[in-house]
Amino acid sequence: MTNTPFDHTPGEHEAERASNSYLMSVAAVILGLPLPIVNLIATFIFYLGNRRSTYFVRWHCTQALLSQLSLLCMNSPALAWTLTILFTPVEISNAYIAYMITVVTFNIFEFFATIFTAVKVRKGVHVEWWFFGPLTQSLCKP
Amino acid sequence: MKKAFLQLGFLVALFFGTWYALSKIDFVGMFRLREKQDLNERKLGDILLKVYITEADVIRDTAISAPLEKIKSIICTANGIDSASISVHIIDRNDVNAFALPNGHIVILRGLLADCRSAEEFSGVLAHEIAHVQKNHVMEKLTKEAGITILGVVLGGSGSGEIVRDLLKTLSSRAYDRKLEAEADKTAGEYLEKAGIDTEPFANFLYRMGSNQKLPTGMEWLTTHPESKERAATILKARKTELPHKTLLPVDWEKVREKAEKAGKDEPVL
Repeated sequence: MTNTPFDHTPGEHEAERASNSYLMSVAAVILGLPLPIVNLIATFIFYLGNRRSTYFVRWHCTQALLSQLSLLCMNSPALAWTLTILFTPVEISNAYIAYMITVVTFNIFEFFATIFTAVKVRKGVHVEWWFFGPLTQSLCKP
Repeated sequence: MKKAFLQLGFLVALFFGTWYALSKIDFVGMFRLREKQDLNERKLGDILLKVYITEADVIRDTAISAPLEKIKSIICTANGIDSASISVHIIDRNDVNAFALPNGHIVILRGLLADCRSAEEFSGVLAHEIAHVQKNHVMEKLTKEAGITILGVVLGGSGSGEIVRDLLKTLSSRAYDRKLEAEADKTAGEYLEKAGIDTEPFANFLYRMGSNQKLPTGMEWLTTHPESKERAATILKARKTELPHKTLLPVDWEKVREKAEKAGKDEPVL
């Protein structure tokens, strides 16, 4: 995660909307914990509502949306595996416990990174995440 | 974009690396999950048996139970199974049925004893149920049909009598799926062979059961367990004819049948 200069200084209203995209994903993560698709849908709806907004807002909405994809990829197998254990003869294994610890660790890390980014962006600071930053850069044009 | 893919590669490697490294830790052993599972199985088996036998008449006549124990002991000893881990319970019901409960409890209904024409036929049925116990089919079936949550409720003591009865119905009246039934038949055949008991009487018993089944020809695929005649044929196919089979087990089966036919009243349990 890096603080990189942006080509224009966002106004108060822009910074608030951009920051909200992260807060939306944080709230959706909490609500969507049992169903990983929920946070992706919530962030996607927020993204759709802001796609005609300023470049700064669009950029951060896109980064928030893309970061949710990583959670979906990690959390969906965790949910499927858990349901398999609950409703089929598959037993809890070391691999399952290790996967759950890994997923929870990555979720916690992403959760705090999202809050950190929301705070920074609210102050008008442009924050680029690893991988998602360059990816957003190539997808989101001024 | 190259930078993005490099970073993606690092993140993916970090994720899978963490998972791989953590999976090397023996969490299952550390948290004693197997022991807890075994304890749960024991508790569940005892709860189910307690409910079943409080609503049924248990036959305690040693003229019936002693020969059954002898047959159980012969099969278990020959196959390195702890005989004490299998408990046989004889219930006073007319139905031709036997089923296994968790924790090695095997329930034999009186009707089955009366229907088996020899000790060898019965030993096949018993070996089949022991195979279900040994292969953990009972817990597998319960988990599949009831779900671990329901089992947890029963184990927690908050499960209603209705839930416990449903579990008992699942185990007593619904067959295991084809794969598990076939595996139990195959294992039972092996147990019998090792004990020096001919598998042909077991096959004969199944064939006779098959002759009583009212399933239209061509509809066999509808049933959840292999047709009895089909099962009998599979057992005969695997039968080792060159083995010096004991023609008779050291029990007076006619006496067991006679006692079973005469035993007490018959009231519906479930």
